[in-house]
Amino acid sequence: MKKTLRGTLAVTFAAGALLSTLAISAGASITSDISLTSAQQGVSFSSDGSSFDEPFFNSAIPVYLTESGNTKVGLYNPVGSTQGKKDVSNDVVQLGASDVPLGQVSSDFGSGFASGDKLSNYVQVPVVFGGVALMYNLPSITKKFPKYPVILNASTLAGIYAGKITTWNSPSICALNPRIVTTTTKKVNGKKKTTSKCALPSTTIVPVYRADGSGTSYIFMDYLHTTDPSVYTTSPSTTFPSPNSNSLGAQKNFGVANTTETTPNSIGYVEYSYVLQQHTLPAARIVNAAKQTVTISSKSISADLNNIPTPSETNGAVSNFSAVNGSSAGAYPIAGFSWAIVRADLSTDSGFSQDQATVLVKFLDWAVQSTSSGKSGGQNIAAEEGYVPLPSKVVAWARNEIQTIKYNGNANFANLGS
Amino acid sequence: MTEESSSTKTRLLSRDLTGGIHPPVKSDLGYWLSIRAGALIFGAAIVLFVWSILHQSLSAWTSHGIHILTGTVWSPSTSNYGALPLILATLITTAVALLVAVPIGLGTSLTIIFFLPQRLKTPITSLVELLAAVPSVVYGLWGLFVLVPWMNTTIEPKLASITGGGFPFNGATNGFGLLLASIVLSVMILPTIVAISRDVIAAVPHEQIEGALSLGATKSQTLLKVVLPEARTGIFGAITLGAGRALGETIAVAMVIGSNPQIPKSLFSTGATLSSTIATEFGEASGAQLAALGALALILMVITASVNAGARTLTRRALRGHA
Repeated sequence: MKKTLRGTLAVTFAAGALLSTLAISAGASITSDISLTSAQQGVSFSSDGSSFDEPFFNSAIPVYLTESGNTKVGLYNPVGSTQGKKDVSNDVVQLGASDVPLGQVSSDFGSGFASGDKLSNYVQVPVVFGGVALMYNLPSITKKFPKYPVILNASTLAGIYAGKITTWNSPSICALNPRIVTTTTKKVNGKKKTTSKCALPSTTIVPVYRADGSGTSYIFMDYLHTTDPSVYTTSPSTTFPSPNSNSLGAQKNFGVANTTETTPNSIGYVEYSYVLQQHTLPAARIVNAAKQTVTISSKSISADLNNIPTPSETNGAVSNFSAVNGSSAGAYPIAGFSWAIVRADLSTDSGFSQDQATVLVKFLDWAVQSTSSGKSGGQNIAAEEGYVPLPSKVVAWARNEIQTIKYNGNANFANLGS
Repeated sequence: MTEESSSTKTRLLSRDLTGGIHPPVKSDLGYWLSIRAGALIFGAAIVLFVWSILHQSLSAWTSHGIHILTGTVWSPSTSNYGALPLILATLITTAVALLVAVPIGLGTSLTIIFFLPQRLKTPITSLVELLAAVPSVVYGLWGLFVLVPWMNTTIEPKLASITGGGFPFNGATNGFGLLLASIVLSVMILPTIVAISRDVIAAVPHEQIEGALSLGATKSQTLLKVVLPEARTGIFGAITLGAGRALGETIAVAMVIGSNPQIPKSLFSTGATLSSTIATEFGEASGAQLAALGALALILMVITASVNAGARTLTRRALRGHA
């Protein structure tokens, strides 16, 4: 995507000339914060990365094009988080997206990254927030007890995914599911006596996990390790360790959903949207930190959003971003942010013009807001696509981060409106 | 100069078409250069290919050494890169796939040549060849959506009950695993085996077949004692090519083998092959994991090359024994 200065100028000029009429006619409806000059309407940036973000970016970019009058910005390419990080490091794209912030896994800035690259070269902001659902395949139980989805908590999930709880009717799972029982009434000494027995099958649990690197795995491992570090000892990473010899690995959210659907007695973790899309299998209800049993929904994923800590940043390193195990009432405990990564000084991408940088920065600033200057922002589109809009304090933090993006050492994108 | 070129030209005409070391006459210069360039580019591509895999995997070999070959746990999340489970799964699935596909493939070839009426030969042949045109991801999807439930509910329990749960049909079943991967692979390599073995069997001189029959040999004796031995070097070639495809098949295997690297305990075990692991993990890998995947590529290359070399030695020995 590298362009010579002359090429960029030529494209800018030609596009600018072509679009000047359009810009004038559209000018009235454009709000101050995303308004672009006619030259800026004819330049682009490119983006790729996490497949989790694809529905968001590819719905948000066309809206941004309409709102800003820009005609050049292309669609987002879902090549995966790690590739997105590498591509932004090598200036293949100017916006890389990852479910885990850059610098959290040891392989960042290793092979595949530009040599000498470092964390302080980047600004990272959360763009979407989503939950991880546990879908399970127990057809007989689902049929017999349609009103009572299986309930699991942190320690049973850690046990299942550490390979230590191996059967569905394990005492710890039965104890959480007092409604999934078969009752028998017997006459003992002329008195009726009712006994109930756990109805969960004695079959082996087949834990389905992501065999490829994945931010979904990171969020799920973050939850297991945070809530039960003694059982789930592995600290979070993007590669999920195989729980035991009964487990099945699959690729991408799609693969986990399909493998879980075709395999009786299995359980798999997927982005919430996959349960919504396929909805042939139920999602387990999870006991949260407040000891409540919670069903996954946009509402429950967002219940704890205002209590989660605001991320912080030092020299490009993002910390305090974990959003799992929220203790608010009704909070679904397995959730996390996905991140956009851009260069802290966009002029270091040689050939990336100041106009292009302006388009990118204004897009990001628009993308993290629900409303900007009274108009619908990117987070409204995120909500339409099944994500949870970022809470206002995270938006404020993200916008602060965006303000620090520079071009040739100057933070001259300050005029972003409010 | 003219004398030299004319003598070169004579030599070129009399001996071979490669033109020797010196450039030939001007009119042939383009040809002379192009065949050398072709050979050079091809050779350079192979050298570069091997070098880049070596280069990519170097840090894995220096930091893990022989552990890559002998380690029994492949777990990138704990930086444990032991490829033995992957090597075993690769060899087992290929062997079982050949065990299924070779008899069926040879039977198909013999049937097409000797037993089918003329008007059925072409349709049956093109049906088998159609299998080669199906993209491997389609085989993977077929395996995932059709074969997995069928294996899980019918085939695997039946195999286990017939053998009394004895090796290699023991252990927990869920459809996915080495057995299903082998079956999918056997279907995928069938057209290769049929196409080549059909050609070599058809090339067996008709006089020999007629001779055997006229000496009183039965049809089966003729096939087993005359036709197959005569065609055996070509059949070796067919099996080698089939094995090469099975060893390297990626997507279809990744979709049905369960992608859970472990030392296989039976054919019902899930696992992951060298190539399926590369395909599954490469996209999101970097650093040490990327180097380890490079090492897998190198191991796979060595295995494939040894299969080819082994087949070549066998063929040569067979030819010598024959002559």
